[in-house]
This record gives sequence, structure tokens and C-alpha cells, in this order.
Amino acid sequence: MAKPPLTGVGIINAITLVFLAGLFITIILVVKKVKGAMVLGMVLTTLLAWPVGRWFGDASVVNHGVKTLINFDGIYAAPDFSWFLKADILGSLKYSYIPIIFACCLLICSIVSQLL
Amino acid sequence: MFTKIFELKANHSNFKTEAIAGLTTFIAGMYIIVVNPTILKYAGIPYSAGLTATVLLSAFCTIAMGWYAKNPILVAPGMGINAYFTYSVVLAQGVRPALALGAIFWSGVFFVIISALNIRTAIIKAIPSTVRLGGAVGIGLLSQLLVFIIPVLSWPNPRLPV
Repeated sequence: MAKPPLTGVGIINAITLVFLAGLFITIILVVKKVKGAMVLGMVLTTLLAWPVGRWFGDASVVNHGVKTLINFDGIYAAPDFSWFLKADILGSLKYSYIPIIFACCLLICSIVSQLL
Repeated sequence: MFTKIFELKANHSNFKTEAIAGLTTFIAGMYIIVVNPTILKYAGIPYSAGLTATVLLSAFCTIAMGWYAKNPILVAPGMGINAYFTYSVVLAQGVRPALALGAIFWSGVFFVIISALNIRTAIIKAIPSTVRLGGAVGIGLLSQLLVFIIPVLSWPNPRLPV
């Protein structure tokens, strides 16, 4: 029996279609040396996501149960401060949380080091 | 006014250049507004609360960076730390989100202390440049693996008896 190939066709849905089209458009713009190619690629991909998400496929898995990719939910929504000051600052001052604190600090150091 | 406040002439720049650069930076970094609360949602933090925190903190820190430090740098939540927070600390280790947020707070305090004492520079210098660059390349490759190879090419093939 022949072995199955290492790679196969993945899930082709609205998201991967928009991603592939956006990548293709951006590559063409960059190769053609269009001014602002990357930004233009992002804007065009965003515009493309509107019809593709509306007419092709179901994006509910990644879009909070909504089938389309781009949805108009109004111009203004009140900010949600339900988690404001919810951090348990005193509770996290325990010996067992020191590795987490150090790991986060090292991650920040690593990010900053890449800027220098 | 902007020319005077941000010393644009001294930095061989002008308002138009800075405005275009600002717009470009915003467009390039605005994905964080959506991605960060989406990742935090899996840790149990409501999407709207994560969105509010991301937007307000990014705006405040970026304005402070420009106004006070005179550096044209976008400051926003890191895509490595939020993943560590959600997947490693909250989901894998089972730490309550409020406690994990507290630990993140103390890591920030610790970072300020080691920066003020100039220990941070010593830590950064202790990391070889090859490792630093390798880390950036590794994160880039992992991102490519996640967004391109697995969903589009389905690699490794799920039909393979791994």
C-alpha cells in the first residue's frame, strides 16, 4: 500500500482564501515595487475580506459565532471596564508564582533586546 | 506646534513625513486590537474587556512614548506574552486569570526595577546576538507554520499514522 504524502490540501474556507489572496496581492505589489506596497496589500486584503466572508464559507469558528468575516456593529460602543482592577496583586505574591514573574520579565527583556 | 514639540527640524523630518509614518505604523499594528482580546478570551477575559484594555493601554503608552521619550515607536501588548499568559499559565498550569494578571503586574514592576538598576542591559548583553536573532527568526517561522503551512497545506498530513 502506497504511503500517503507528507502534505495535503488543508481546510479551504473564507479565512484561508482571504489570506492566500492577500498574500498573492501583496507579493505582486512588492515585486512591482509599488510605493507603500505592504500597506496597500493590507488595505486591499481587508477590503477583500468583506465580500469573500459574505459570499463564501462560514467563519463562525474564528469570528465569535458570526458567519461573516467583517460585520458592521455600529459606530460607537461603550468601553467594558468589567475587568478593571481585577488583577489579584497580593494573591500573586506567592513563592509558586515567582517562575511566572521571572519568565514574563525575561520575555519582555528579550523583546526589548531585539529593539536595541 | 508639532514641529516645535517633537523637534522635527532637528531630526531632519517634517509633519507630512511623520503623519504618513504614523498612519503606516497604525495600519501595520492595528491587528493587535483584534488579536490580543481574541487570545485573552480563551483565558476567560471577556472580549470587550480585553479590547478596551488593549486600546486604552496602547494609546496611552504610545502617546507617552512619543510625547515624553520623543521616540516614534508603537507600544502595544506583545504577541508572545499574551500567548504565554493564556496558553501556558492559565490553560496549561490552571492558574486563575486574576492571579495570572497579578503575576504579570509584578513582572512589570520587576522589569522597571532591573531597568532602573541597569541590570536589564547586563541580562540583554548576556544573551548572545545569535540567540537573540535566532529567537526572532524562530518566532517568525512558527507564525508561518501556524498561519500558512498547517491550515493551507495541512502539514503534517492528518491522514499520516503519526
